[in-house]
Amino acid sequence: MDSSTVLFIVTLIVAFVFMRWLVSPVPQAITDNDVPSLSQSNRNSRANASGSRRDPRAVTDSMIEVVQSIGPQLTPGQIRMDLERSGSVQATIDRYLEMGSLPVPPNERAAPVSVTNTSAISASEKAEPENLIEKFGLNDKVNDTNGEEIGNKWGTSKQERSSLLTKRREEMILKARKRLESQLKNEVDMPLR
Amino acid sequence: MAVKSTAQKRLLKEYQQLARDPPPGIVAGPISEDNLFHWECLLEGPSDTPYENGVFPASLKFPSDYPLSPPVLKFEPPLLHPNIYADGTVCISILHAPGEDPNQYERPEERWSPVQSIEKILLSVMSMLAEPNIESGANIDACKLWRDSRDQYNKQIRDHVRKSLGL
Repeated sequence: MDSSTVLFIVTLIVAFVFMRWLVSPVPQAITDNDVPSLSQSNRNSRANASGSRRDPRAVTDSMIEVVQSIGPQLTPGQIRMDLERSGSVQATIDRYLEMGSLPVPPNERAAPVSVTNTSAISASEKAEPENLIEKFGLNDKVNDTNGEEIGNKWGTSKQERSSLLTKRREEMILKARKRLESQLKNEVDMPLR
Repeated sequence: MAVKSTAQKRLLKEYQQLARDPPPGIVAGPISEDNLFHWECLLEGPSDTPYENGVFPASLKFPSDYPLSPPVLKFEPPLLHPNIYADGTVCISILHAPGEDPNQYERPEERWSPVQSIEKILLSVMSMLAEPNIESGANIDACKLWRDSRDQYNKQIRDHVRKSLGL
């Protein structure tokens, strides 16, 4: 073998080793719990603060997002707990797809707001009522004539924004109902129109 | 969540724009700001169509790599329309992942790309309601009904609208 062939083979081996190293740094970082990087220790301390007993594996927000896109009704707490157990997005998604849900962390019950919210949403998806008046609880407001106009505002807080959104939805439904009501009346008055 | 991903930032920005400057006949926003990836929209049926006076709820579900990939828009409950699948999922070019259409039917610029927006999707859906595209139908029964017995089609939709508003 001449030197150029040797050089070529050596280059191939070096490139191969380098690619392997480049492709798999993430799993190495996860198993390496003794020397966590700065960002990992931040997240670990956050996970510890939320009451996890074992030494948790590094769970990033992007990992939680990936799982949440598969199972939107899962809470971040559920996903975080299972990711800490499995250490892998793939394993957690497989478990979710198998079980249809993930175990709820014990401290999640202390914050019932998020839990009841998500369960209410999934329940309403299953048995969707056709009637929008009932769905949005507008029975009392159907004959309300003094409908106040909601401007195009952007609320300063989460709560304000969500209540503005609800009001806009209600306004749209009630207006549509009024329009349809008057149209139906006209059709009765002039059946040959 | 303290750190927001690109997708979350973008969704929040679009939510803000839709609240400040909403297009007529559209109300859209996340069900809860805790999960920006799941929205609920209300769309008004365009006037001079059988969908007139109707308000149609639809869910928008965003992938975690939004805006690289398009969201899925689904009418809940499903709506009778040639371009809406029987389960309510909307089938229009702007909701299709970027790239070449295997059927050579849609031009790349009609398909999803990060320069599109939720507002553009919803406006496209409004014009889809007004003008069904029979050539790329998603619901064969609705296509047949629209083509062969338009009166029956119009009546079914008007009944749906009346029932949904409790009249």
